[in-house]
Amino acid sequence: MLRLGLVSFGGNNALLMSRMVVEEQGWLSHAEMDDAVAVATLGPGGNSSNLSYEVGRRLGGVCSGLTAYASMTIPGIVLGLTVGETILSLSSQPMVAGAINGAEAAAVAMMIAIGVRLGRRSLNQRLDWILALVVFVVIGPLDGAIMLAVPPAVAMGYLVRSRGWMP
Amino acid sequence: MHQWNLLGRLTIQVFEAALVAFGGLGVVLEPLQRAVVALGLMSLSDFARLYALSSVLPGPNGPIFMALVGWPGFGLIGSLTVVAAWAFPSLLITHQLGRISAAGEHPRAARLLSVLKAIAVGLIFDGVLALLSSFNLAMPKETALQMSITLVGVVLLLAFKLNPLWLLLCAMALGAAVH
Repeated sequence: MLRLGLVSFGGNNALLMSRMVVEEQGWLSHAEMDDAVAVATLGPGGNSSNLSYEVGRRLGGVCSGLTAYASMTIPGIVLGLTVGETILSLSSQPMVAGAINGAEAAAVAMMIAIGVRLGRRSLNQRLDWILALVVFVVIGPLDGAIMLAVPPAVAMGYLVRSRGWMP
Repeated sequence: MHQWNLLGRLTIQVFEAALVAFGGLGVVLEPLQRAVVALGLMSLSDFARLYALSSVLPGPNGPIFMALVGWPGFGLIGSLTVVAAWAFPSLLITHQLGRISAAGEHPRAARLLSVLKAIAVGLIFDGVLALLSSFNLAMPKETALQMSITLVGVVLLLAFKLNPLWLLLCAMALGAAVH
């Protein structure tokens, strides 16, 4: 997690974490990682920090979750508190700004890839596609509030699935 | 106003913001900024500078930003308190959702989890949209490079299962070289 904390730029590290936890270490299965990504995405406060907690919790309980959360955030905090001013002045240098722009673009690619992977495994029925599309359109292009879109979508989705109204 | 009283009020403001920060720090940045400036803890420009710093540092910018906000005037205790106020609601909700997901074999939990996963896909692509909108369209060359890195990156990650760390390093090197 400390390693991830040092290389996670752009606010998304699900794919990096998936690579480490599932493919390199074999600590979680793909299905468990998908569940963790979904849980982290739905919680407030930021996906990457939530994901570090959720992965840690699945591996060793609450203490491991908190340790993973701390490990993920401590490198950035230490850098910010110690050499923050230097980093801020460096970030306006063209070369450093360019590297940060590149990292942001890579972060978008990683986010799309994790979305496609989760979608491939999770959007199995028509209802799944409708829920994903409605939430995407209401919050993204229509700029609606998450709190107005997600709770009704969860309630409607659960009701429709429970009653078997849509195959 | 007494220093610790101020820290208490800052902690409450951050806690309240964290409860509704679905989508991350950006969602509650504006009300947080108003609250922090109203408490007299820092100026608008200081707040903006700390946010800019948290955005360029590695790691999740929410807790990092909170540590930076809590530091001036209160030191390590301030940083830890404000980070805890930010982290507690999100970890509590994430924890509860995680427990539901762990009970996935139960029919009700499985139904709920399948709904949550579908919604998470929509939210992830909302995040993609938000990140894409942060690309600076006023700088066409840089934007074209970022779009190219993103498109090629998606293909490499999905079709060739490229290690994302390699993509990150190559993208940073390319961005630095082109500038």
